[in-house]
Amino acid sequence: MTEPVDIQGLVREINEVLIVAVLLDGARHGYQIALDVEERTNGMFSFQHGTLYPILHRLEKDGEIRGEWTKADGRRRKEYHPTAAGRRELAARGRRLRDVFETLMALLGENA
Amino acid sequence: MSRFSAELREMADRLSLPPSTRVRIVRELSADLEDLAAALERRGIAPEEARREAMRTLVPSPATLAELNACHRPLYERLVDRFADPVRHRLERTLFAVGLAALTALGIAALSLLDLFREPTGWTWLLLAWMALRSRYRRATA
Repeated sequence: MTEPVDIQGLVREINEVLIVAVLLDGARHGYQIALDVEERTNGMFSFQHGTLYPILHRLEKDGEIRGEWTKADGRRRKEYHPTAAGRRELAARGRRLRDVFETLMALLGENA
Repeated sequence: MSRFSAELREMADRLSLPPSTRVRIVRELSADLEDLAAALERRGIAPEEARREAMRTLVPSPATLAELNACHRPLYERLVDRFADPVRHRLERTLFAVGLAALTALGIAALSLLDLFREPTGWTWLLLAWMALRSRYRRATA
């Protein structure tokens, strides 16, 4: 028997996967993460109404990404980098999500 | 002065967090808003539309602000919020009483270590003499 899925937790995990996956291509500022997620998923996923920030800050507190203040054009910006723990957790989340979607597709069978 | 000042100020007012945390969040958001609006303008979007789109994407809704508040709540508040109000008040009173008792015990221990009463210094004798003279004067004038 597999573990039951927490739907709220699933949404959070998808958001976390989106952010850390985009950061694997290199450090980015918050607004760049929002733009890249939208572009790389062809608009399927997008962050609206600042939903990006609580997720970013939570990931930072959990040590999965690292925020670093930089200064350019006289303005301070916060740039995020993935950490080793973040990469490990991304792989684990990827496996969990694959299990969930494979289970769903198996249930749908030929109706999908 | 940022073109998003009014929105940022309103957002800052709704963050119930320590000032240093609030400043960091507003500073990050301010830079991101400016940069996102500029990036959208470079893609050919009119400035006012770019400004609106940047706000729609990045300015937190009330629900998101609540999440930010929860994410950055100080440790003390997170610990205390686990208890219901009456339990918390009882706990705070108990901690206060224990703290006061500990301080008193420490004070007494420190005084006894100083041997203040067994080996009085010249200042102690002066103080005792002044107190004796004062009580004698009070009795005389009563």
